[in-house]
Amino acid sequence: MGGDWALFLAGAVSLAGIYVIYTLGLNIQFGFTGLANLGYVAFFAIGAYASVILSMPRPGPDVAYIVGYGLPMWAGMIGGSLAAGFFALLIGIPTLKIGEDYFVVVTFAFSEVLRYVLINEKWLTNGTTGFYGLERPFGKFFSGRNYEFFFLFLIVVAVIIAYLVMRKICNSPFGRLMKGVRENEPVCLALGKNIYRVKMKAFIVGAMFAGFAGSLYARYTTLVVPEMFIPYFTFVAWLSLMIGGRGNNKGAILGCFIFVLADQFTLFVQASAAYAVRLASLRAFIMGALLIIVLRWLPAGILKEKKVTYR
Amino acid sequence: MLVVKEIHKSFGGVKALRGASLKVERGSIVGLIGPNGSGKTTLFNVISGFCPKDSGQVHFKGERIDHLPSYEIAMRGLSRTFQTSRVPRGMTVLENMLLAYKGQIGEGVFGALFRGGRTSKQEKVNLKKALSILELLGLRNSRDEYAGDLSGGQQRLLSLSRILASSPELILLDEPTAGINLTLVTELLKLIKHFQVEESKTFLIVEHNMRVISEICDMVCVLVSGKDIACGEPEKIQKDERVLKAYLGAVQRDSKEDLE
Amino acid sequence: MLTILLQHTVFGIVTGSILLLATIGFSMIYTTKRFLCISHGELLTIGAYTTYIFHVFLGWNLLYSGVIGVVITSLVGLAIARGLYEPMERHGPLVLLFTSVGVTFCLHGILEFIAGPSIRSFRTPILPSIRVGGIPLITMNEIVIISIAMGSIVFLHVVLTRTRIGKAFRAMASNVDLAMARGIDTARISMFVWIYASAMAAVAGILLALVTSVNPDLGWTQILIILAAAILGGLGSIYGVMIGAILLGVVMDVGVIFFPSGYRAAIAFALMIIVLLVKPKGIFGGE
Repeated sequence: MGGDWALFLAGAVSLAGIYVIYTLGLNIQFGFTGLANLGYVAFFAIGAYASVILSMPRPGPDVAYIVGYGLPMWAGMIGGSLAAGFFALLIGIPTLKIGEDYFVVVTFAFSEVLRYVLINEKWLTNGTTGFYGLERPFGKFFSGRNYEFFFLFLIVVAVIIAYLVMRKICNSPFGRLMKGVRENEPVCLALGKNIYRVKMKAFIVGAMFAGFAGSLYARYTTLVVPEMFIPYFTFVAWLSLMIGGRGNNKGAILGCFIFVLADQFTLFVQASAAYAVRLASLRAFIMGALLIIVLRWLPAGILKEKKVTYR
Repeated sequence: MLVVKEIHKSFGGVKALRGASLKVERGSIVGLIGPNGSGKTTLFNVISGFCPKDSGQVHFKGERIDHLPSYEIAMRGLSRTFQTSRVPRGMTVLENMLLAYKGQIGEGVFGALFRGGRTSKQEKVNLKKALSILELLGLRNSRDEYAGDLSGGQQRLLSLSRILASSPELILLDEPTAGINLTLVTELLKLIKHFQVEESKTFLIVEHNMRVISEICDMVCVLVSGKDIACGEPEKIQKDERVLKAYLGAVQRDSKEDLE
Repeated sequence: MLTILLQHTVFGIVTGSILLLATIGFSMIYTTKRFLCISHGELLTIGAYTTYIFHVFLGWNLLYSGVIGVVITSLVGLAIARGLYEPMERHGPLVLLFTSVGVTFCLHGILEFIAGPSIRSFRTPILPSIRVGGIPLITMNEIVIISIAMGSIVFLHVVLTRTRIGKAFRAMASNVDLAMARGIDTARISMFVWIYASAMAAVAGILLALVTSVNPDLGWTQILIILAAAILGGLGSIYGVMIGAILLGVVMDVGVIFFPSGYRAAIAFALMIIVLLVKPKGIFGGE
């Protein structure tokens, strides 16, 4: 039985690691720059789908989808994050110049439209069936349970790299500039800063992190279906960030682990099939309540934004 | 240095500016006065590109700037402060200062990731400059405090130091002395004078306080109902019939409105 | 072809009428509270379920059940605002927006937990449709819905222009600080806004449930379209929103003739994004 626990834990930590990369991207968008992206899951989805489509073998005659480029998996992952960044650019052009509320609505709407596209454009996405039985990185070198631990190792490496990259970006003058834009746009304008470009860069970098996380997630679950990219997933990143502490990359990490712990352990509540759906609704209720509570009584999150000092 | 010609601007049906013009010579301190609602701040917003004009022209260093976005205007050396002291509250005093420097290599994603060496060299230089400005304005001891925790007067000083750090040639100050105590006002005026003389900066100042105007301004322009009615040396302006009449009339109207 | 077009236009007007009721409340909240109240959609669901309980479980008359549903929903709306939104107002619109997202998940969770995921129907009889030139154009049910929507607009217009609270609301909508400075009782107007907006949401929810079905996702599927309609009409412009909602309803329902029906909502968002590109303040915003 001990082995099962270890396996479960390896799976849960891998998932938390993917969420960390995902939430780090939202942190640069919202925590640093103040962009309230309510359709963040869209970039996660684009990353997942693009990476899968790029590295799928060319389809045979008996399937509905017609695209598949047969690229190596790593190329698919890079392509996935680039695609997410590209879509961020497209969405950013019309929305970053107009008011905050419009940005919120358009991003939200974009994530839903994207889901309709994933469901309806069968030639590209195979519709609601999606793609399943996906190959996992270095899958052929490891057997069953050993693979889970190896995958965990891969995720840990990815998280460390992602964290270091993000830390470097956020501790730089660019990080300061993002904070300036978040805190006070007119002041930045009066100092000669093109705030539109700053927002765009932060938006694209964040989306690329989401895209990368999405491409990992596809390999974690070994499938992509439109149902995986419901607004609840945007909410996951937001909740993790709010719990951990916005504007603090360590906070994003902490928040994700707390979220995954809470989320995965509710899976242990045994329930008959009839009650499973009801339990899922209860979970949505608890997560919603958690967000309200954090916003009200712990508005800065567990780890507050760090004060920057120079010497 | 700055030439403003016949600016018109209306909001909805209200005409805020009707043909306002003024001139600022390099190295001078020019005061802009006028009763409440005469369009001073609107004129500032138009000059600095924060508010589009309806018609008219703004020339800065011989170049037309009235079609440029505000950050471009700032990049050309025309910077401004705001009437209500706006500070990025969640950033420390030093962060505020370092934000101001132009041409920072590390202010892009690429620079931040791959040009760490040059970035940190630049940061060191900027830090030194920033500290010397803070020293001069008496904010050095608050260097690591959040700007939002400073007193109102200190926030004004910070706004000024931040603008100075961005090395502008012409500085637009919107009511720099509003809401700060008298000792600080004297201090502030000294500083403005200092920067005019030592660093050859040019200032355009919106001000209510006549003491400020007569003490440091080389020239004064009077704006009434969106139109400049007189420009000249402070002593002359203070005796100008038209100005007195317009000013008193407007003041009476103002107080009448307050009573209602 | 013309027949189909006509029929879809009628559907669109019906959809738009319901959307209008839902969006006006959302817009009233936005104009006075300045935040996007995402949880507004869930009030539609609450209105539909409460009415369903009284009408189908207890067997009461539909009209009485509806009235009770509306009253209960407005009280729920007011309670949420008092308990969860008003204490957060000093933190600004973004925090309020996220709080409302949390509230949405909470309400959706509770409703689904209690009611289960099953889809229920009011089983209202379908009345014969009125034929125009031999074409079945509109049913009595649809006429009732459109009339209720139009009646609500007229009623709201009268409230806003003739009553003291309505005038005070308009003053507050145009400038909150000024309204407070002039001694308008903003707390009372807030109460009016929350109750009125929630009541309209309940009416919209009931009507929507009558033409479709009662299910936990009822409001959730509407909130994005509500947002689209509000932006189309110009955020914060109550009268613009009315036209925006009808327009959106027609465009969506006529659009499905030309696009796969899976894209019905996507058409709404596409229209919204195009309008934002051309006229960032909405069709009737920023007059």
